[in-house]
Amino acid sequence: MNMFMASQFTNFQEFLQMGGYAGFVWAAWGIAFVAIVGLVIRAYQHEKFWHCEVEKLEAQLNQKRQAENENP
Amino acid sequence: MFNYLANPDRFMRFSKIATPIFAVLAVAILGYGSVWSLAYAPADYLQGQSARIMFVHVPPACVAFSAYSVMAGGSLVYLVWRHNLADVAANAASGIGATFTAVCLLSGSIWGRPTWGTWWVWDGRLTSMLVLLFIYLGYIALRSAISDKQKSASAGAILCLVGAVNIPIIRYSVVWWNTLHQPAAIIRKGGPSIHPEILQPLLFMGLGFMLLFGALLLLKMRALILQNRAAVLAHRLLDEIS
Repeated sequence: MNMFMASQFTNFQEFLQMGGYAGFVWAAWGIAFVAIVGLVIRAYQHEKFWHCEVEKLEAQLNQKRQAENENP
Repeated sequence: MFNYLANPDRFMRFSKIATPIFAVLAVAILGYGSVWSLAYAPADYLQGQSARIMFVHVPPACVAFSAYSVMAGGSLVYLVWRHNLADVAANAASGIGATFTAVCLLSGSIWGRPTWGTWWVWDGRLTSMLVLLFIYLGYIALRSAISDKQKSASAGAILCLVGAVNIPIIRYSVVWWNTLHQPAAIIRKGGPSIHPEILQPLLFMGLGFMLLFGALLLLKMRALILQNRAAVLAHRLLDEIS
């Protein structure tokens, strides 16, 4: 069965051409896609970076306290 | 619920579970919604297939407003109660709002070319939306220019609340001034003026974008809370060494 049966296009070529508006439709969708992916990656990296920093600092603090407890 | 989550530790526990749920729902709905709006929603009888730009124009505008609402709400709560988490929410929403405002402006400009015959006009709706982008960018620049955390939060909150005057201007710009931009078509007296076959995928995409906004906001808030915690820990470590 043709997957484009119920769709507005008869084939994939026609879908890509977007009735002659390919440049406009795909540019707008492309910008939205890139912006979303960029935001998600940046937010994820930001969270991950500070998560690691907090863990590092907590470990350093614990080490220091342990050393102080052993040699007061 | 807001009272319950006002504690950073409880917020971190809540967001650890809620963020992935929002993210998975957003990806699923945006994926399904993209196929629906790109291939199955009918083309416009006048604009043809170029009307499919609407699905990446209206939802980002919706997120741009929602982000500003979060910012304004957070700023107000910060100024009145000095609650740090409210400032974190406002700060986290700013970058997301700026990006979606830019997406809305760009997709609108690309849509304007085949529909109106021009990329840009200096009319009420387009100009007030550009002003919104500048307010977002001004807020971000102001926050990063002031190193004292509390001063930065207060200055940002005041700028945000003053800038909120722009929101009703954007909303009613299509009523008050002559413009190429069409008037409100979804939230209007007498119900939506869009045919259900196009309105349904549009609302579906809107839901996907809002869930994505939720996931991004929670993730950014987590990052900022962790950043604050790291600063406190680094301070403590230095104090103990000296």
